[in-house]
Amino acid sequence: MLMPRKVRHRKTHRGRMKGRAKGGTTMHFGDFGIQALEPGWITARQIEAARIAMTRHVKRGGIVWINIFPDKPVTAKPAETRMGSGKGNPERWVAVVKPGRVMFELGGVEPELAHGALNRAIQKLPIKARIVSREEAI
Amino acid sequence: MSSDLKLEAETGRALGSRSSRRLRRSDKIPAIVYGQGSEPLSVTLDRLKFRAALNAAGPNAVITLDVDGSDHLTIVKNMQRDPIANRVTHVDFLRIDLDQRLIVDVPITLVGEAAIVGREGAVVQQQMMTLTVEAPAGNIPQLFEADITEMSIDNPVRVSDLDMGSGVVPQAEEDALIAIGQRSRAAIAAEEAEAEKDELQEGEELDAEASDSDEEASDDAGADS
Repeated sequence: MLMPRKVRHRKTHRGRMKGRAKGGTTMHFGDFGIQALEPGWITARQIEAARIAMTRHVKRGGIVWINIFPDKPVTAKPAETRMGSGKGNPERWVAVVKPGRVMFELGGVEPELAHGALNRAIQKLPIKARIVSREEAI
Repeated sequence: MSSDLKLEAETGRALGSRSSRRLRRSDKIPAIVYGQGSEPLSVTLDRLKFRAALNAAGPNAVITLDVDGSDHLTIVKNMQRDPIANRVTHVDFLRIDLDQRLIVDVPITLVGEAAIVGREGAVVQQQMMTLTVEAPAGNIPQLFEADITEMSIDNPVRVSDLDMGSGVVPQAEEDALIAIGQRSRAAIAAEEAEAEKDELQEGEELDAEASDSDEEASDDAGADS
């Protein structure tokens, strides 16, 4: 699973997810992609599940690009613990995603196959997302 | 001097984000026209007409902008988009002269079926989506078509393989890559599995030969005794 090799601070604040994505809203590598329509935290497990769903559906050929990276640690307290005594331990890593962000890209496959693969990947994500293609509408 | 593509634009729009938002809500696009040493003009376009014009002529088309009765020869210098609504939110028009040389980004499309896809299980990967070229304003290519039928893993499509029009000079290196053929992981894994299977079979054959020769040797030894 994706995670940073080294971090400066083990625990971070939760932060806010106001507004839209400032960058990464266009396709750069593949022919089709998944664009977020809602803000959310995508965990490393969800990214991996989406990647596996895509590669298994495509079978042979095709290249998957992951444009997001889970660099934010999320902490959690152990079960049945009384409140207090400090912040919990880092449990998982998430990528903060805002609406408009192109999270995954897929190239080298036929459009029907790509749509099937991307739809399966969208099912693994906790936010609303849609499939985008390179051809831009005005 | 004018181009075939003509668009109407109105001046006198109120500036600022709030009035621009109102314009967009009524299917208009706020735009600006500048260049050639003249004063910049804040104008309004009809979104649907602009879309039809650009879809028909391409992103680098020379457009004659009719601003309140006066014609301006322009090209689209920049377009801002709303990534979610997928609409143009603002357009920059640059005034040009048809004799002037301009630096523009021209989109590249891959045409044809690459033979390496079926033959070697490779994936064609487009490395360059647009090519920056210097061209006379009257002869800006709208699209470059890169033929990938003959490409191979050792012989990718490069900028030098593109058919440039007259007077069009690419701003990238001649050997810059446009499309490459890459072996997919599945093809590599399948090949490795086959190689392993071959090795195993060879090993089994060698073992079988060795055991046969041992048996023969023991038979010979028995005969001697």
